[in-house]
Amino acid sequence: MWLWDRDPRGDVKWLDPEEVELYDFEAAKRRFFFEAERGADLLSLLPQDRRRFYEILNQSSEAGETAKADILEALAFFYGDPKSDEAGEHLQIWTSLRYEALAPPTAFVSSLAVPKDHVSLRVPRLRPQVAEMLEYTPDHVRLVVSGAGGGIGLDLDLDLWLALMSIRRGMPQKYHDPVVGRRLDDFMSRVAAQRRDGVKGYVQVHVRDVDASTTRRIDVSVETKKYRL
Amino acid sequence: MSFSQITHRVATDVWGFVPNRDIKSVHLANGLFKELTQQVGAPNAVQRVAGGFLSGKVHRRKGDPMTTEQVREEIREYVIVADGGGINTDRVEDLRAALDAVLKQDRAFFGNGPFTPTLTHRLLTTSDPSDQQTGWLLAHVLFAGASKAASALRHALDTPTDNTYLLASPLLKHTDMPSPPDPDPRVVDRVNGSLALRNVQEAFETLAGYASDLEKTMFLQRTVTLGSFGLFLHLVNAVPNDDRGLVPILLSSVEQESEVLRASRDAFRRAEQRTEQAFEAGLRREFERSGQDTLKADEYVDVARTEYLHPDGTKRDKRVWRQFETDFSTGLVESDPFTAFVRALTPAAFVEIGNSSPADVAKFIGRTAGLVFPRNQGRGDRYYLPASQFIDALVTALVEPDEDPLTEHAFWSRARNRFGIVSGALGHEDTATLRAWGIVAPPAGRLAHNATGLLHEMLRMGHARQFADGVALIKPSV
Repeated sequence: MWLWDRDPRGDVKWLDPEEVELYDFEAAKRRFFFEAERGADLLSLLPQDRRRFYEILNQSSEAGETAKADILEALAFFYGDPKSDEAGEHLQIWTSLRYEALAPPTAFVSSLAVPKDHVSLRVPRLRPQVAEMLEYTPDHVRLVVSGAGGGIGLDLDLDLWLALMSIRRGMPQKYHDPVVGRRLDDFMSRVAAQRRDGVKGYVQVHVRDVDASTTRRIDVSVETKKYRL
Repeated sequence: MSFSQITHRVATDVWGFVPNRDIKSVHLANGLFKELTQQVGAPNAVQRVAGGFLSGKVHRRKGDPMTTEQVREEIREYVIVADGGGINTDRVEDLRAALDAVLKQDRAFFGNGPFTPTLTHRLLTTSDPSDQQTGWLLAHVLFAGASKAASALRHALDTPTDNTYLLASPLLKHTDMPSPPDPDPRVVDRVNGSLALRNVQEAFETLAGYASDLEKTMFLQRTVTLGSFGLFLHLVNAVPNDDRGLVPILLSSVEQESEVLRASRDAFRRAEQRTEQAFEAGLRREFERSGQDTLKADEYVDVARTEYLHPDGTKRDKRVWRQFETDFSTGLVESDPFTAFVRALTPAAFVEIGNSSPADVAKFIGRTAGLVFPRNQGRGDRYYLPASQFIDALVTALVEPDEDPLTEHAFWSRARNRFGIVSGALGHEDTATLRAWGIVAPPAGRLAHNATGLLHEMLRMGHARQFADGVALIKPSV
């Protein structure tokens, strides 16, 4: 069909020069995108973040490990504590609450951190039994925090990936799409809910003041209900 | 009886609360949580330590602002010093700033006077009366329901696991939670006579089904968003004997079409008018009860001048009087003196309640619920543009946790039946709903495009999935 996409039963029609030009252009475009010998190289034409996303979808676990580090870093940037000594070594679980829907929360609080080893990046694949029967191209990867019931996942589609990468490059928190913030908050709160039980002893509560761009840390004893100052 | 007493009585009779522009979402949360748990917490130490710290308007003792050194002494009993030395002043300042940053987010946590922190636990509730009884009303609407919602909320408010509670817990006075009360019979009657309140009650039961899946603070946030929306619905649907059902709420999508925007603005104006009409009907009943429904026009002017308004009072009083005179004389052209009097007195009554108009009240509550846009204060026509916080609450208030995902049509049908929400997804049915309320319906194509935009938002938020055949199914991602 690519070579002849007109009605084969019809009479030969002489085309106008403009139509010929368009036809030639369409053919060249088709060859470029679908028939090129080094088609994979076309990916290099894409902007870097997009290219990276497609590489993660198509490639090995090694690409996933680097991507995981990038995502953890982006999350640390989003919640505003990228300069923490331990940033990148674990996933800090931030929650927020503001009842008014007038604007996003202005403070994030965290009392939990998940070690990096408990976080993985997974690409959806078909089971081997059906992989040969169906053609499937994943459109997202999942960041999974291990735990009961298969863990808690954050599905990263292209939209969210691009947003995270712009966050990682330093886009200020207040300029983010609210839906991006909402998806991240939802993920964080689910992880917080799952890992909340069993917290004992002194807990370090991190409080990020978004307006002032500062993070403060307060130690609180869960059992005795006292501060350690 | 003074005019102020009459207006408060009428408002309470019509809505069960006094609509006031200053009822913030967090005030509703405070009132609701207090009534649900039958307890007022005692976070006064939290106020003394942190209230107004970041803005410099800190708690005052004997007229002087409390210093960090004084706070250090105040909290000594709540602190363990790690190395046996003194309490570090810098650390005390960190604590004050951290608490203030977290608790002031809803703009009601102050260093002095009544205050309401951004609360997550029954022990953080305060005696602040700013909710104007809305929390009490909503709590009894829930108590009067199937009780799943009230129980789930009581459980959440007694759970000591969230970060806000953890941060403030050393400064709180720890007590047990009392048992829940029986539903107030007046509220039970009100619910039985109000389609909006019955539907809000059902919506809360649906939301309660997600309590175990949602993190505690998310559950509380959706509760309060739904509660604010419920108040909005109740406010704009309180006209008695109206068989047209609920006032339509035409949600516009982010990619706004001008025709849809115009219709959404019209729909919001209808809601404002219904608020005004509900109050007028209540005022009418009040004057009929007191035998003031058969006076002549000049007698009404005298009554207004001598008993209710103050033509020679303050600048505001004079403005209110001039407005009354204009409205009354205009009203006499098309209606009888009593009707004209009631209509002309209604705006003055709202000024008396809270220096605001019905439109302001509907706007304020709608804005804080993430429904009405623009969300900042000021002039300008409002319309309905849902925030993601509103969509979260809407989806979990409409789809039962144990039911199959809904098709777009089923979802928006339910939204229309339960809340009067119109999206454009129901095609001619939506057009007919808008026309029934005298709203010029946008062309079918524009409405359909609007519905696609709303679906796109839900897809992005993970509440909907669209399949290759174009069919979309909606189910909360929680």
